[in-house]
Amino acid sequence: MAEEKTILVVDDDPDIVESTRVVLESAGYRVTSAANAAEAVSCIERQVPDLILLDIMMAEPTEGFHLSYKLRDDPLYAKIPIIIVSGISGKTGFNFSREKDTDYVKADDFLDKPVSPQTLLSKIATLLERKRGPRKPG
Amino acid sequence: MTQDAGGGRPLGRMEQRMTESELLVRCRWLLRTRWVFATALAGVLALNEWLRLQEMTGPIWVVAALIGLYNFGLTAWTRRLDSALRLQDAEGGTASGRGRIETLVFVQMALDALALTLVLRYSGGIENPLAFFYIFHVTLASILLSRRLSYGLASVATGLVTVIAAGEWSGLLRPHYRFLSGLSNLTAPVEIHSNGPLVICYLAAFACAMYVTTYVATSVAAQLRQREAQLLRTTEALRETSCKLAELEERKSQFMVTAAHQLKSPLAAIVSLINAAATGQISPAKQKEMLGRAVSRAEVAVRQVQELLALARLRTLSPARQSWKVFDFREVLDGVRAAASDREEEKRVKVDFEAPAQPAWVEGSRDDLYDAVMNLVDNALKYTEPRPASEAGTVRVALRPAPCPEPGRSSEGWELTVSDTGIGIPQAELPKLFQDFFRAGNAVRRKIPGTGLGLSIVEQVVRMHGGAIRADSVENRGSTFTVWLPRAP
Repeated sequence: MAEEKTILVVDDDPDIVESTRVVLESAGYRVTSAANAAEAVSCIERQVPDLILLDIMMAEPTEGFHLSYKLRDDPLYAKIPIIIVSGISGKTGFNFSREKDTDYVKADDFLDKPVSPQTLLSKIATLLERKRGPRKPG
Repeated sequence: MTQDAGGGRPLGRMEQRMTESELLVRCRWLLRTRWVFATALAGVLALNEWLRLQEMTGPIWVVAALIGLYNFGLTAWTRRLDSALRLQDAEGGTASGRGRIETLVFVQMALDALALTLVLRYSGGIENPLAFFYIFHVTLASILLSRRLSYGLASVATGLVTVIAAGEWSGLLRPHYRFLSGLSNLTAPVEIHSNGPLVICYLAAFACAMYVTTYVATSVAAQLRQREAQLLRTTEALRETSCKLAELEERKSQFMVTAAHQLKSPLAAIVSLINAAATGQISPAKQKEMLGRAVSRAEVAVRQVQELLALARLRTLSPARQSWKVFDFREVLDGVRAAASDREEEKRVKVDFEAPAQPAWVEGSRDDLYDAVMNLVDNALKYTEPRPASEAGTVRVALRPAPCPEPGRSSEGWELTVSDTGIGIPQAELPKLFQDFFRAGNAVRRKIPGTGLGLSIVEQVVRMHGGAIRADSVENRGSTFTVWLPRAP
């Protein structure tokens, strides 16, 4: 990989964060992580990631949704691709998809936990190719 | 709430409204029937003008007109009453309108009886067989009105006929109209009204017919009303049961969805960890770490399944007490003390036990109560973070005799308190503490493992034993769980 891309993993489950980190680092990505929305915002302000993997239900049931809205409303971060990786479909009966849900859920794609490494890496590669990285803040 | 017609248990508002609606329907039916009767009377009178069967029909024409007139008034009264009751219902009022509707029906019946009496008076007096028509009034009144008003109407009818009979016999009511005077040349004149003993016999038979009819009809109507009220109550009970069942089904579905989600979290983590371990591009040490984490999560998932099964068993079998025994609750504390002592040193938390000198007899399932107390002590140890040895945390378990803390229950029993000096529970989260899968935010943030089912199990066990449980807590200061169990009889 010519340029090392940074992926931010936002999830309150440390095992999910760690296993995702192993998979992504093995594929040549740089990984930063946050256990909640506030930590995620600090991380993004320190270094804008090339893509965010975002869980929905953390300390608050819709914390991930709120963070995605906040980022999409901020011109500095609006173009960071977001993949929602969540087990929420099991709880709500919703099965999110890129085709029908991106209008109101501010994300570029959706994955249901657990995600196979191949699927995760393929989605990330597709999004990084399709979207241009965000401008640096400031 | 009011008493029902049959004198049984109080009627609900729905039952009241249904009986009121039924009465109003009958009221409207009476109004319609009266128009038919007034028209028929006018028709008969017109026919009579042609055939000349009855003389002096002028006053009867007036009666027919009066019937039409008061029917207008009664129609307006019925509409106004109906609107008032609908408005009261819309505003959530609960006052019964039955009394007002019964007054309306009684006034209608009394006016009809009076109209019949006038027709009788001007078409032959007591010799006129139309006197039998009073039976219609008293029967209808007995079906629609209370027993008191039904007998009232029978008395009104008897009184009116007595006035005619006595008036005609005494000569106060003159002239005496002859029934079907146009045909009287074909038949021998019937002269009851001028014969005293015959008048008395007539009135006695009439009164007897009125009161016996009222008695029989009101008795049958009361039975029917009782059955109707019973049917309404059964329908209402069925409706309530159906609502409760739907609510239970909804809660069950919600529980299953939540349980599935809670089980999915560790399973998703296990799959992710195994996938990560299998990437082949990590060191053996990292691989081992990943697999170790997967095993820990699997253990949590197994514990969750065990607790779910325990909860399901308790909820399904809670009424079954055949295996319960009377035992000394201190034995449960001894078992918990032995189990807790192993963790005391590991956690650097001191556990104090205090129990009464005399046996603490309770009746119930020793195993379930042991699990419940162990759960509370386990939580106390888990949420009391290890501190420097000099200021070790403390868990206190105390059992003492105490009356039931719930208001209105005077039974004696035992109070078990499990207190700790741990992280506590945020005040706002205390009400949700015994909900299935609920975990306090501060415990989740500290990543203290837990299934969120332990306190549900404890509450279920306590409730199953007829006891009560309460939690008091101050965040960062500690929590106290107080369990009360009834003394064995």
